[in-house]
Amino acid sequence: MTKQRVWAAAAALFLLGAGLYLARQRARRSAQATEVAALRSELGRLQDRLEELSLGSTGGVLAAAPQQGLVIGVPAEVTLDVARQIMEGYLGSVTLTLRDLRVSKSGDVEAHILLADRTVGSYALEAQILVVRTTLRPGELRVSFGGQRLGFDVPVATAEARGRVRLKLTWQSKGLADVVCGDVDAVRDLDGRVLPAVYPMSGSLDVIADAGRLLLRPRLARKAIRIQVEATAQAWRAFDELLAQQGALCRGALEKANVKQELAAVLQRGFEVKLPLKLLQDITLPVSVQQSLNLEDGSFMLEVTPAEVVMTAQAIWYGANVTIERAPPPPPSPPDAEG
Amino acid sequence: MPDGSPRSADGLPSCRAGLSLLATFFVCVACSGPPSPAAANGGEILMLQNQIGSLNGLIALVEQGNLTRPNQLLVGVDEELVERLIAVTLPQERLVAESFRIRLEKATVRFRGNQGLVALTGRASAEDAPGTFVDVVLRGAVDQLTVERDSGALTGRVAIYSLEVQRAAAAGAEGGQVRALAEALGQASIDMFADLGPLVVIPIQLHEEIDLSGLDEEPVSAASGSLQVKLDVARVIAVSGRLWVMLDVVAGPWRSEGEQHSQ
Repeated sequence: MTKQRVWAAAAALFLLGAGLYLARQRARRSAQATEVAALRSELGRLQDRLEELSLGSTGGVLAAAPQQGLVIGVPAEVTLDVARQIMEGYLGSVTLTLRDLRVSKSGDVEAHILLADRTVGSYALEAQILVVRTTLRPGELRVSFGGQRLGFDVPVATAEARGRVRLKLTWQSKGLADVVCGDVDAVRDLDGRVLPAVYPMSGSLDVIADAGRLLLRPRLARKAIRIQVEATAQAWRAFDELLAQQGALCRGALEKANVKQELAAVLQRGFEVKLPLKLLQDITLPVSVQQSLNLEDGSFMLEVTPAEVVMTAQAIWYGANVTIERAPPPPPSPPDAEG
Repeated sequence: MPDGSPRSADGLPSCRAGLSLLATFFVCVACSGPPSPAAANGGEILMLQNQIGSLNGLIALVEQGNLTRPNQLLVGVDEELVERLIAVTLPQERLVAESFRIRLEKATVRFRGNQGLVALTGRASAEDAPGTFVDVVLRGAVDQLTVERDSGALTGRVAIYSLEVQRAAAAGAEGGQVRALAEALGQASIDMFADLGPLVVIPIQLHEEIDLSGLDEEPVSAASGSLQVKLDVARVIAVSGRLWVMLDVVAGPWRSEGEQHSQ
């Protein structure tokens, strides 16, 4: 084999190899182009499918969203969890200070004297709470979704507490009794005990869009609770001593009037305690729309127009229209006093 | 040969060896295995396969009614608002790689089929020949939305993934320069344009503490306190003209003032 033949064979092999290589590359490119086209087509089909699903009923919670530029959806579970933890936590720190609360009871006492029923006297009982402090212990908050507001109810217990109660007993004898008994005007400060009790507290949580914020505004159905107080055994002993100091006739008249039982009943009926309107405050849900933005190249002002608050069984939706414009530059700083 | 290797006078043995090596090489190249996705369009194939996989997963979630979880806060912004949020930051002009000056003037946003596309149109000029320019479109997507812990804002950035040269604005004598600029832009690495992706701040504020003030109005007194709330971006989808951000919410515990001071 001559050198020339070898080189010719080499050239032929080179050309063959190059040809095969190019053909292979072309086939590869063609196969890839086909694959890319098929994948793009599949991608487009899936994108259309996703669009179709998200707009339809299968879009689930998103399908119920308002149509404004910016929407916020707070699911029922999150709303309930936030409201429950805040109300329970807050109410759990509440102390009720009962001061200068009064209840009273008065009446006439009649007796059969000299063949006729005659009024032998009249009594007036007043129980005054000087000061008693008790704490609230909320139970589990229940929230119901309905319409554009949420309903809530929570059992609130008052803890047992002690305090001072002033008892005032006035007895005015009349007729014959006046001669033998006279009047009684006695005051005793006694220990009282707030009875532990559970009060159902209920109301509504209105959903409010306030500028950029979404609020739950609580409204109590009843704005007062009735606190029941019981006199201690020591207090009753003091009361008995007070009666014992009276003459027999007088004591008999007071016993006839069932003053002790009347007093117990008065205390048991309890003292109405008005709750301040501010007891339950607005609860801000954990997302709001910003009123301004600071970006890399300046500050911007946002005008947020709340457009819609929609409640569904799944979520509270807040839709807002937002316009944005560059904030005016800050005013130039005043010239130096020296300048 | 001084090295004493066997060889004829005309050097044929080494020629034959070279020839067989060459043949082996070309046959290997020509008959190499099936096309690798890493070659040529391989990158696009991989990207499309990933997108399809992700879309199939998303569609399955929607069909099962599991797109959102009951503990997820939802925030949706439409294309128009995001366009305006980007537009107020325009025009922006940046020098890229000390070679090109790019001025971005308009943004177009499209949220469809789980693709959050942002097209930024503008003009590129050579730094050393400002009169020579071409119109360009930078394409990207809203990426990496996160909750900023200090401000409670939800922010992301437009990640640029392609640059298209639209139209040569100069003609005639400057045609050559324009073509050179267009070619240089075409050959530039896309990473060089990363800084041009604008910041996208969704104008919401996430509150990681919900405060209640104390009350001292007889007969009631109550301590102030706050509820801790942890919010994390769980999923972002672009569908039906909106970008949806789903945030996992973990609320609690409530801390009243006394407890906070004791910690």
